[in-house]
Amino acid sequence: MIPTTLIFYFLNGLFYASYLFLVASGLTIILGILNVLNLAHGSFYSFGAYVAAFIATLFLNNGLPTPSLFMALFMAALLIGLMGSGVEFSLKPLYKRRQEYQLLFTFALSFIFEDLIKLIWGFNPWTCPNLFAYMGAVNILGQFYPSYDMFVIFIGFVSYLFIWFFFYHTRTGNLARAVAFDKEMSSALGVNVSSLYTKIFFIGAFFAGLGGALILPAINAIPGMGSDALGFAFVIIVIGGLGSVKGAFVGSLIVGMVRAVGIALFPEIELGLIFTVLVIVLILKPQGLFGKRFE
Amino acid sequence: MSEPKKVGRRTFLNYATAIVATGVIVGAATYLATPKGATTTVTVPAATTTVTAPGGTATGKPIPSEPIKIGILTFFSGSNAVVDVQIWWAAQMLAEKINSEGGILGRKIELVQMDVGPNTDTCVQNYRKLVLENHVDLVTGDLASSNGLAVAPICEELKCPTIYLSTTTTHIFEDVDPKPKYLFRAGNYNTMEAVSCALHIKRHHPDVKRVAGINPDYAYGRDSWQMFVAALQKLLPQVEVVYEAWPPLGTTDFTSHITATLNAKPDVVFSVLYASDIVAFMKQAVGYGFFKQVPLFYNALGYISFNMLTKDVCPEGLYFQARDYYFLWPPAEIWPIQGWFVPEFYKRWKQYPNIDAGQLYSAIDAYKRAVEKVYALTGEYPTNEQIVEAMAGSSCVGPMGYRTIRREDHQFLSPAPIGKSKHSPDYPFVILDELEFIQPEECAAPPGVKSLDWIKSWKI
Repeated sequence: MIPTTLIFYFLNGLFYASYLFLVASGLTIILGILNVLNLAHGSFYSFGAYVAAFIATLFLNNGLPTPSLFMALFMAALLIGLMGSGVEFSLKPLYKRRQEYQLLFTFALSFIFEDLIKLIWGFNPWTCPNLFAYMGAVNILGQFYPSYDMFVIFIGFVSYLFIWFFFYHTRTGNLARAVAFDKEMSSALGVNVSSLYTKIFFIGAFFAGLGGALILPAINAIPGMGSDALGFAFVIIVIGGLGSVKGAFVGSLIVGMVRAVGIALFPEIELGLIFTVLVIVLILKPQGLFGKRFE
Repeated sequence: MSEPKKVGRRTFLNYATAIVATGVIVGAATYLATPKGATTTVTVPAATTTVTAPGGTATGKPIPSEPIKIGILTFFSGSNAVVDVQIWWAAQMLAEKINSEGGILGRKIELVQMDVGPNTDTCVQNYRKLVLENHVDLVTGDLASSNGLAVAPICEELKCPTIYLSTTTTHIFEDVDPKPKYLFRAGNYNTMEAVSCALHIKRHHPDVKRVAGINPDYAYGRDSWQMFVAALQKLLPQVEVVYEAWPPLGTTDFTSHITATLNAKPDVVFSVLYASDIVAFMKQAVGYGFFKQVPLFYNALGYISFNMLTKDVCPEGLYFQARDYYFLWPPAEIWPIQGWFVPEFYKRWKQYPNIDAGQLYSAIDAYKRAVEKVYALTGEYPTNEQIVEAMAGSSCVGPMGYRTIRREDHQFLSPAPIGKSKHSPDYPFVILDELEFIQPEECAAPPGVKSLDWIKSWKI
């Protein structure tokens, strides 16, 4: 019986890691390339969930079949990507100023977004339950595991592969790394930094939105969910090293696994355990596990 | 240019005279009308006043003409607002009803909305603001445990009648404010939730052995679990705790807690998760086949909107403790207040009233009765001190029925309902069936005795 339980803890850890990675990866990409610590990133996550709930409800009310809801989730993520580009556009005048200004600006935005969510969707939790129930559960050695959670894990991995492929095997990705390395030089060599920044913000926001949309069928979208996710995303990118996508990936896995096992073995210190890992990493390797410049 | 100016001044003078004259007339009218306490639309007849309090009308303080301000201090923001918005709805509905029936001694009720805010400091600040700047006559609302503890001494200091709804922590009246004067609580508290569940288990499932808990990681969750375990082990000595999970408030992903709980193979799981936490938990638990593997599940449903318990999230056969009010009991035929409250609430807000909405009714009713009682006895409009003294030890009504208010610790008491979840075709959400009521004497510690000491003193 013990092996089954271990498999479940492992899967739970992966599940948690998957959607947190989607949030953390966007945060770390934007930080690594634009050098902006986007405090409104949690709002992309919560907006992703709410917009997905909205579109899904719209689909269902118009009699579309349940599988079409996957489309709704993806559409929500795309919309959040566009929203991210909009945020980047409003940030443009601040790039020449000190980093604190961008920090405060995104901090202010996060509050505005939180209030907007309450204004648009009210205080009731929103969800898209059909998908979760529709996919049912798989039987793993006599125990049930929700298929939807498997799907989330799968998308988490695919997203990592996509981000890796994008930054190492596409022209835009390579240029982005060049800009992260030396903005002035890249600009002098003819790279359109401004439009590149908009694209990067689109990608970062897209993945955060995807994280929110993807988790929605399994949870309830509630006000304040974004700030919680942002908190963990910070832990992840600090463990992994600021600006490193590989770091965000490994950091998510560490946080996910520590949480899953921690809840089983040390339920009393569920949150404390994750932060203990953070402290240990900071003492042993202050720059984080993969902390360098963006690579 | 100069002519219009002239006309302007003249018009102004005309208006000014008119305003002053109206003011004088209205002022005189109010002055003449109010001192005798008879001409305003008063529910208590003036005759009673003169009979019971000779001389009272001569020296008595007149009924103020301005409205009674009731501050609704509760969560208007944050995830708790989902549930607490019903307090505001109920308050509006009730204020309109009382006002249309002539108010409290002719004074209309005016509501002041105030958010608890994100932390204890803001809550205390906003409470002070209500009392000192808005000059409210009564503060009521759900504050959550930590805020409730911080506001208690401020309430006694500012001497403003204050009635907590929910805010169920035992520490308020057992430790922080053991001899309350201005503070009341219009809701069964967490000892009653935990102990009533334990008593219910003893009655219906006396052979349970392995118990696990999933509770929010803060005072409410910790205290409830401690008391539940203490009570259950007293009642059924064979019970052992096999696992306890402590998800932080606002957790959205409970998958690891679910796996760990299942792994411990409990006979019964007790939880005080609430609001969207319990809904998210149950949804994920269904995905894991949790309720097929755990024979008994008890949840204190104190803090939720019932429409959140949808049928796909909540299977049948789970036990829910509904603190002190469930909208399906008592039936409208035997309790007219319920007959007005529930349909009217649904008509206006498209939801059924939750526990806090029911508590709000009893809180305002208790205040109204106290004001009218003192006035009937003395012929004077009561001071805050008189109001709270009249309230302590009295009783009031609410949609849940009659409620008593303990003199010693100002705790409102009513029987604690426990029911079993059922999918009924009449409601789009899960309802509670087989309701059973645990009497307050059985599940509340006597005043002056700490809950845990009381449980430990049981002789079984």
